[in-house]
Amino acid sequence: MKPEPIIRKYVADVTARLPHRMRHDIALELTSLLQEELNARTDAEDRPADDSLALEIVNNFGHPEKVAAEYHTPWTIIAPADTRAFCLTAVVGGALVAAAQVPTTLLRPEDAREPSEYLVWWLGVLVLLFAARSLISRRRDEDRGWKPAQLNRGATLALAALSFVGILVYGAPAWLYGQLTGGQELTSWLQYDPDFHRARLPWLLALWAAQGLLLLEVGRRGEWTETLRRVNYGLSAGVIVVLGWFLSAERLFVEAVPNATALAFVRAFLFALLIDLGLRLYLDRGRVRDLPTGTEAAA
Amino acid sequence: MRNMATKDPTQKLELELRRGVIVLATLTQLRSPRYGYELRQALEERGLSIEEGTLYPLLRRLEKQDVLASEWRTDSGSPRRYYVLSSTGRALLTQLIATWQNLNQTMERLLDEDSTREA
Repeated sequence: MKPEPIIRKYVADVTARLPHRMRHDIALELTSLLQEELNARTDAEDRPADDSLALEIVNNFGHPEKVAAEYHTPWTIIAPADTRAFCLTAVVGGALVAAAQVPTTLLRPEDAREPSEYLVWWLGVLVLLFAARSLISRRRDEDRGWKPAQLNRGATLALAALSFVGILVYGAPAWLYGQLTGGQELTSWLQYDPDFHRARLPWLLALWAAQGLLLLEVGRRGEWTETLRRVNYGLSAGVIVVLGWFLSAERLFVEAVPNATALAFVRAFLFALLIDLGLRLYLDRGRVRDLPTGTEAAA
Repeated sequence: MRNMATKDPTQKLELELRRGVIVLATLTQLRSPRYGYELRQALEERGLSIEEGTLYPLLRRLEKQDVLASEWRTDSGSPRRYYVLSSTGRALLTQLIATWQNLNQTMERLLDEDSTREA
């Protein structure tokens, strides 16, 4: 093979990895430079301009991938810094998507689809989301400063308020309904099972109250301390145990239909809480702890 | 981590050290127009050998940053792209030379202290 086709193919291989607008100009320049190199080597070493010399020259220049990357930094669909987040989201989300199909597979097998369809869909969505994130981050000013993550006090306090509202709604629904409707009575359909109301529900309400107080304290401090974090894990685990107890006792309402509906909700809630706790524990596992404070480090 | 520990890092670290001076060295040779191959030869003659795959893309990047200006010429037959310092590039070169001299002095002090301690 003559040297020119080798140079031409090499240049084509480099420019194929570049944006269209850059290709022509770079191809022209690269061809001219490689040809120049070839002529110089031929003169200096007194050897013919053959394919072996052309191959040596282009190999010295570098692999087309590397050379193209020197000319133009390609857009990374998933930024290296996001790799771990992508893997974690892909696995956890994939597991959730697969788990969400279990009821359909069990109850209506004729409507069930191959889990791989949902997994491919999920991975497609993830790739698009991470690609958008990478693109936005690429366009941002690289010299932007860094600020420590701040606790969203508003959201934390809102969550605390929601705990207390939950206690009121679930703890005294008849009283609340009467207050809101000017004294009307709640339908007997929504009457709690007496045993549940007396012996089991108060445990959940107590745990919610504790979680509400904990969130108020976090909001006041403006951060999660190690102790507050541990207490939160304990309370979350407590809620999971109590909900499991509700499910095993099977009686929440006197009437069968609201009871079945409520049990389905408790199951879904329990499932979500288990995932939430599992994820928090997994992410917390890699957190760096017990760092010395400024004065300790200096000492 | 295992690779880092087992491979000899000398070559990689030397390459990083050289990379730090490539831009400055290139700019010093572009006060008058030169095309890529000519520039590489000029640097090599003065003792600084730079890989083609590093130098030529660098010229394009510097041009994109308005440090260099370029034009195609066909004086001697085959078309060549000539690069020269732009006004921004000239100001940058002055600034980089000052930075380099300061850095050089600092390094000399550090290396002197080090050799005194060793002696």
